[in-house]
Order: sequence, then C-alpha cells, then structure tokens
Amino acid sequence: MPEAMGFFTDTTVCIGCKACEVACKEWNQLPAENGGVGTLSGDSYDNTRRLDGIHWRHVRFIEQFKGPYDGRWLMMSDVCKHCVQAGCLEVCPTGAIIRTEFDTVVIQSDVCNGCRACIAACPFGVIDINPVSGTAQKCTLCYDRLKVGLEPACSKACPTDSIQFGPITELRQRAQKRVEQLRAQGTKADLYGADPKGPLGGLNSFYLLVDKPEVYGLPAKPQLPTRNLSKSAGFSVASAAVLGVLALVGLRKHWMDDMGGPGGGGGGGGGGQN
Amino acid sequence: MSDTFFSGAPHWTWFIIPYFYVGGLAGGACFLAAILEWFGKPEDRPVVRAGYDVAAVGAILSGLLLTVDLGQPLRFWHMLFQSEHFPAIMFKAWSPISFGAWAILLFGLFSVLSALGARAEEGRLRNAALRAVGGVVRGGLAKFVSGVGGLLGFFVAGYTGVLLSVTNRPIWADSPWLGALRARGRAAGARPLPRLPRIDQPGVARRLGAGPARRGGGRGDSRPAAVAHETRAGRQARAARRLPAAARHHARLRGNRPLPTGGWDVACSQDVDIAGGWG
Repeated sequence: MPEAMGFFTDTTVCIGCKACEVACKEWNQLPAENGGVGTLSGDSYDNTRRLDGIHWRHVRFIEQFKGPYDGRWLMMSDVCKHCVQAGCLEVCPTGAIIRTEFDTVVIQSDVCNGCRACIAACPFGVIDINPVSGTAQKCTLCYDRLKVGLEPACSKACPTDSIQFGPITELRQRAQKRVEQLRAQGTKADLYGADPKGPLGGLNSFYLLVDKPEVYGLPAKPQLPTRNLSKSAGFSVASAAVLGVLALVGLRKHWMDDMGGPGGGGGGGGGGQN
Repeated sequence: MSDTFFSGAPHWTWFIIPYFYVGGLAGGACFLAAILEWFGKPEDRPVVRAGYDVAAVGAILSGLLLTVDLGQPLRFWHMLFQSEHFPAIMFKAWSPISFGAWAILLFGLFSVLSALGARAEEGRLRNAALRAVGGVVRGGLAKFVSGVGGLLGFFVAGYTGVLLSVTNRPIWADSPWLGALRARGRAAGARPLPRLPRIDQPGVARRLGAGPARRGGGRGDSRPAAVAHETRAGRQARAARRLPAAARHHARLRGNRPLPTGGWDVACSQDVDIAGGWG
C-alpha cells in the first residue's frame, strides 16, 4: 500500500501563470469552454472563474485594491482537496466515487450516472458536470500518472514550485518550515487543511494562505453533508408518526359520524388542526 | 460567513421540482389510501382505489422524471446495482439519494400492485396476466401490499427534504426541518381525509379517473366557507381551508369546489426547493 499522497500549495510563490491549468487540461483531455471562444469575466483578470467539470485546476486571483496604486494580488491554484473524510464520496449513490490506494478521491466516469448529489455535497464547490461525458468530474490527482510513478501534470508544470506534490507527512513538515520562515519575515501565514485533527480529517491538498480562508473562497470550517442526516431524518419520522396518529384520530370521528353520535360532528376541525 | 456559501449548485431544476410535487402527491395518496384500506369503511373503497391510481401513476412518473434528469439516463440502474458486479446491490443507508432510489423503485412496485388489485376489485382488467396479479393482491394480500406501499409512500414524500439537508448548500443544509416540512406538506392530505366529502354515490369512482385533467380549473368560484354554516358541508369546507395543496388536489379530484388557501408549509417547502435549486 503506497503512502498517502497529495499537494501542498504555497500561495505566496504563485505567479498566476496558469501553467497548471493548461497542463491539467492537456493531460486529462478536457475540452475548451464555450467552443474555444474566449469569454472575459469583466471584473477580474481571472477569466477561468471557477472549478467545474472541465476545469480541474483554477488559479484564483484575489484582487485586493484600495486605490489605483495601493493593493495586492493574492493568487492561489485551487483544486479538489481530496478530503480525508470526503462528503462527495459519502453521498454518491452509484459507488462511482472511490478512495484510491494513494488516499485520494476519484470519480470513475464510467460508473457515474450524473445524479449530481456530489456537487451539492462538496463544501468547496469543486465538482460539476462535464457536458461532454454527462458525468460529474473533478481532479483525480492524476491517478493514471501516479499509477506509473509520475507526478501529477500540474505540479510537474508549476514553474515556481507553488504546487508541490509528495507524501502528505513529508509535505506537512515542509509546509510548517515555510510558515515559520514567512512569520520570521513578518508575513502573516497560516496553513489551511494541514491538520489531520482539523475539519474533514485534514485535506490531502492543503494550502499556505496569507489571509483568511474566506478571502480565498474557502470555508473556514468545512463540514460533511451527513452532519444533518440523523436530525433531519429524526424530525421526518417524528412528523410521520404525528400525522399517522392525527389521521387515525380523524378516522375515529369518521366512524362516529356514521353512528350519529354527538361527539362525531361537534369535533369539527379537531383532527385537521395542529 | 456561513460555511455553506462556498459550495456549488447541483442544477436540480426542471425535472426535479415537478418530481418533488408529483412524488410527494403520489406518496401522500398511497399513505392515505393505505390508512383507509386498513381502517376505512366499505363506502371508502372508491377513495382507496383512486388513491392507488394516483400513487401508481405518480410513482411511474417520478421514476421517469428522475431518470430523464440524470446526466447519463441509461445508467439509472447504477444507483440500484453495482455496475461492475451486476447482481450485487448498490445501497448506502446514509445517503438519502441512494435510499430514495430504492424507496421509489419499491414504492412503484407496491403502488402498481395495489392499483392492479383495485382494478381487479372493479373487474376492469382485460389482460389475463394483469387480472391474475390483481386477483392475487385482492385475495388476501391487499392490506399487506397497501401497508408497505403506504409506508414507502410516506418515505418518498419526506426523504427529499432530508436529501436537501444532507448537502452543503445554503438554506438546505442550514435547516434540519426540511424533511419534516416536506413530509407534512406533501402527505398532509392524509390528515383531513376523513373530513372530506364521502363518496356515497355509485359511479363516482369512474369519474375520478378523469380527475387530474380538471386540476387547474375554477379558482375563481370559491366562496367563503361561512356561506355554508352549520351544515356538514360547512364543517368540511372549514376544515379543508386549512389543507395544503395536496389535499386541495384531492378535494378537486372528487369534484369539490376548489379551495382558495394553501398550507403555509407547502408554500414554504416549495420556495425552499426553488431557492436552493437555482442558487
């Protein structure tokens, strides 16, 4: 059994070149959007805008400008987080989403039937339908490349080593050192998803951020969708029981109506009100 | 900032929102038919049979709507069997969509059996095989089939709310009440059933068959129930004014005057569906 593998993305050295996006699209043969005709977002230099079924890597541009000469760009190459406790894997009703021997999460496109439960389940908004296959798709952490000992296409292409690939335990140590280095220089720096005791059991694709997670479009405390299951199901069952009892109470009156007893008619809306 | 603001919309819209209504209506109809099957009186039979019809048609329609909505409709069976190991069952009790797929399949089976039993009861099955199945259901299995169908129906009416809660979408995942709300909204038809007018005249059951086509009609001619005070009809109308859409639908099925008001919970749950679905 191989080790758990993943990405450490150091956003401080990302230059927004999008080599990872291109490498990902090339290797995974993902189609162009809009038939290849470019569309501009109009409010940002980020024209990819999001992760979806045909964008498995997305270099997010966060433009923090107070005035024309005062500001900064934050850049972050976003990707599936390969959560140790994965919401998409939990809800997938076809078994298309699996955990691999590298502790990554992969959607098997030939099994998926496009029900889209995983899209709503993912706390990060990573998954979407690929219109070509009609199935849900996302980063596979280049499962096919890992199988033959290659590193994923994106990290291979990254010119600044912002995206680093390797065994998770090793990446965590490296990330910790980098955080200490940055803090020593007076830069605010925090790891997101590196803690195995943190939300979702840790993320196998974790990040070094210099601002709050929300600024990067990441939830501060991502949660599993099944957190709501027992409470919601419990309320539903209780509601069913109440309705069943009310229906029987109503029926009792129905019988009594027939007997012509004074109790039957007088109750009026008793069974119907609650 | 809520941690549900970063998830993506699943695009459950054009087929799924009608499915929520149709499935809930079918489930509620089967549930109330089952209650009358078990505890009703002989003159309730036409209502019971109509309930099975609504349930069977609704269950089939639900399955079709859900299948058409898939990105790969021909792979719908991947939710029921493991596609790589065919006869092996695909089932995740903790995934509402997996549970729901099985529930709809079984609900369809039981409601169609009940409907066949009802047809056999009326002696209106021409096909010999169908008549045989209907006869078997009629001959002692009716209560069992109906009871299982009714419970499954209630499940079908309510699970969609749980399904919406078990996501990471805003509103949906922020309320644990959706399942209960949906179950109430859709299946509350069972609650006032005994209070709706009984069908005593022969021949009404046959007219019921044409009911759904008349659903949309005649909102304008409704009048305050106070007009009919102190009569049985008045009591029924007062009670029925409290009913949600599903019950109003049943009322119309019976050729009653359409009722002007809907239940708060139905309106609310419908809005929630749409809000999240479009988001």
